Amino acid sequence: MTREQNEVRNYLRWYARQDLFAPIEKWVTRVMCGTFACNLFLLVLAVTAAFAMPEIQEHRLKTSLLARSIWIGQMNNSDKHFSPEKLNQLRETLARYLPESPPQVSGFHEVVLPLTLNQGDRLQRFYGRTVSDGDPLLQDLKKRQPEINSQFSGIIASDSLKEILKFSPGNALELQLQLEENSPEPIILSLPCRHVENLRLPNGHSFLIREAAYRELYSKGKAAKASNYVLQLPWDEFVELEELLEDDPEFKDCLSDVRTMDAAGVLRLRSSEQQYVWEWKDRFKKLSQVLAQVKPDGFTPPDKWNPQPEDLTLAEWIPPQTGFHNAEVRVNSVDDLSKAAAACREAGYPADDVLVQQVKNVQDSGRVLRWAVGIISALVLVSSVIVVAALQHLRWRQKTPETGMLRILGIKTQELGAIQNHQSCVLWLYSVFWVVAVWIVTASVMPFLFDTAEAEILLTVSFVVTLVVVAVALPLIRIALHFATRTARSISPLDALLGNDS
Amino acid sequence: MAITWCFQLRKFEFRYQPGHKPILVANELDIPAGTVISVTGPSGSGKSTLVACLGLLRSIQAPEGTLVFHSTDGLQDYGTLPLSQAEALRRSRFGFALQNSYLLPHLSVLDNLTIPLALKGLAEKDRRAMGTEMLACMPDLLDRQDAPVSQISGGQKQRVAVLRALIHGPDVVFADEPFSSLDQHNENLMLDSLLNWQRGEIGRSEGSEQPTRTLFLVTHNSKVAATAGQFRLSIQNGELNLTRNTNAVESMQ
Repeated sequence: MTREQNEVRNYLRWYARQDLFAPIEKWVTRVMCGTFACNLFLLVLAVTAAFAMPEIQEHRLKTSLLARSIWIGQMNNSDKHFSPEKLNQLRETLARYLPESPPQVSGFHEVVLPLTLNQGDRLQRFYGRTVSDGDPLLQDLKKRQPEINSQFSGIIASDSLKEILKFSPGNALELQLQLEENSPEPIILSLPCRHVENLRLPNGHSFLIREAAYRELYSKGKAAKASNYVLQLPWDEFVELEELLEDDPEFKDCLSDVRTMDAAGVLRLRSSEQQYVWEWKDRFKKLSQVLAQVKPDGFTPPDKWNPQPEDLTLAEWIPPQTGFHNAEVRVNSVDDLSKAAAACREAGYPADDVLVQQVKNVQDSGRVLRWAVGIISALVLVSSVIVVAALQHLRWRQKTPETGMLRILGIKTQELGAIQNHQSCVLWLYSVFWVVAVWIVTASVMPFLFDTAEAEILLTVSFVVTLVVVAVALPLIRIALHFATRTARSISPLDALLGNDS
Repeated sequence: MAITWCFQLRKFEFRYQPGHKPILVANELDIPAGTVISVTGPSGSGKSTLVACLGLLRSIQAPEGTLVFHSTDGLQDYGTLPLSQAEALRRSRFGFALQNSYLLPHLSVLDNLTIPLALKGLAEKDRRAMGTEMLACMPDLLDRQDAPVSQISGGQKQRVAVLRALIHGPDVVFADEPFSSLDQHNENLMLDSLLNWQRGEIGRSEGSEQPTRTLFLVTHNSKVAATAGQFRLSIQNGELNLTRNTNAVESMQ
């Protein structure tokens, strides 16, 4: 480039800026820049929302302790209880569905605690579940809150229980646990309680407790008292049973207090010593084995006896020693949830579809949102271009005589193009300046509105979106100005001078 | 002194639309170079159209015949002239002083005056120096050289426009009734400026040869037409007729 060409280039740039920021022009320029900047920032917001919000929702799901879990089984349906064999069968079925990342399967019990929240308050029952020492959920909890170690003997409160108890995160509480509700002298124990942030439990559960801690709790409270159990047996069967077991030393004690209650043949068994409920259940199991050997077809199967406590005592809630009420299937990714649910169904355990549907909904809504925002973004871009082009067209229409004069003075068509290009760059720079400034302000506020991980997602996505929008804005504004100034550049110099631009 | 032509028209007819009645007709016309040519004719006769055609301000849509410009760069046939060449001629060879000043309102007096120099690639410092020198003979404009043109009078604007047509040292200046908004004193001042330029007393570097400069002076003022121009180009019913202006030649002599 020769020195003269360089001078001309510098002059054209200077002229372009003068043309934009002369006192009578600067308000039009500000309106153009402001409109364009607003549209660009709206675009940044919309696209960021479209891409970041589903990411945040997925992030919330993934970081939720139970988002990758499916709970199966029913507490009061003994047919569906999970024996170790059933758990293994379930693992095999799951491994067929998800061979590359087989889910972890662990059993748990649904349990209940009667808590007195405040002195003199009514006793309230809270449902929860146990976690065994090898449970992946407990491992995740330990990672979040190291004080919840393998020896933690209290309860881990969910968000809902935290709301009820009204204690701040990280605080430990001592709760009053009252065992033996109907006893004239209730057994009251103190129970440590900790809250884990974002612990939301399904099935109305409000706490987790280590299984060993739960058993220990009742052992401490000497809750394992004798309990009257009612067996629903026909009278004739009861008589036969009495005869069969009369001389059996193992059952002698328990049969010593046998009483008939009514004509329907209700059998009451009372142990002579204080025993845990599961010991009662073990006794029934052995009894069923004996009966199966002696009279394989003649008796109501013992597993249908369904022994129930006559008096409602907490001892009934002590879970069985073997097997579990429920099982938790823990997948490695939320994307595996639907396959895991299908595997559970195939294995005969209806899986709760809520979480699967939730993940699917998040992904579906993300797709819908992106489409919607794609269309809105396109409209915003088109409207921006139209607004800028219209304003610039009006300005150039008004300035057509000036353009004509420049052409009469010998300005080249490409030099007019250079002025227009430089004006595009200046308008772009001013618009982008405001977009970036507002982005910086917004970004600095984000950590106060969202948690760290979510703020990071928003910052990352919005930063990339801002870069893309800023990059796209320049050619758009050049296109807008090209169309706006086309007429003034294409007509003859005299027509331009006289404003004959039609 | 041998007079060469700067424009040559042969069987030239100009129409706004094909098939329409011709606006300008010249069967055989050589316009001499290095002279002052008064362009006269009644209103609507086509004087401004002639300036637009010769100055390449209007695209000649339906040309018939030929229109050739002769400059130191050679012959330029308007019928085949590319756009870039037309722009180059307007930039370096031609100067225009029109009925209205057409100054750019957001620029100062000096910035308006020096636009042709900027387009030729002169540095800002040189432009300012030349512009200030040009304004030296007009103290009122010199004092206001950095003021926006919106703050000067109509007459001052017109004078700036006339000086702008001369500042870059063109070969041909088209002055299309440039004195219409000037009082007699300023009209004389501007006419003198144009004639001085034509004679090479303005815009000529020291030691350089006498330039061949042609001035087209479109005017309704019969006195100016009779005294200022060595030639008179009259337009009657579109017909171009070039005659030597004896009075002017005598006055010049």
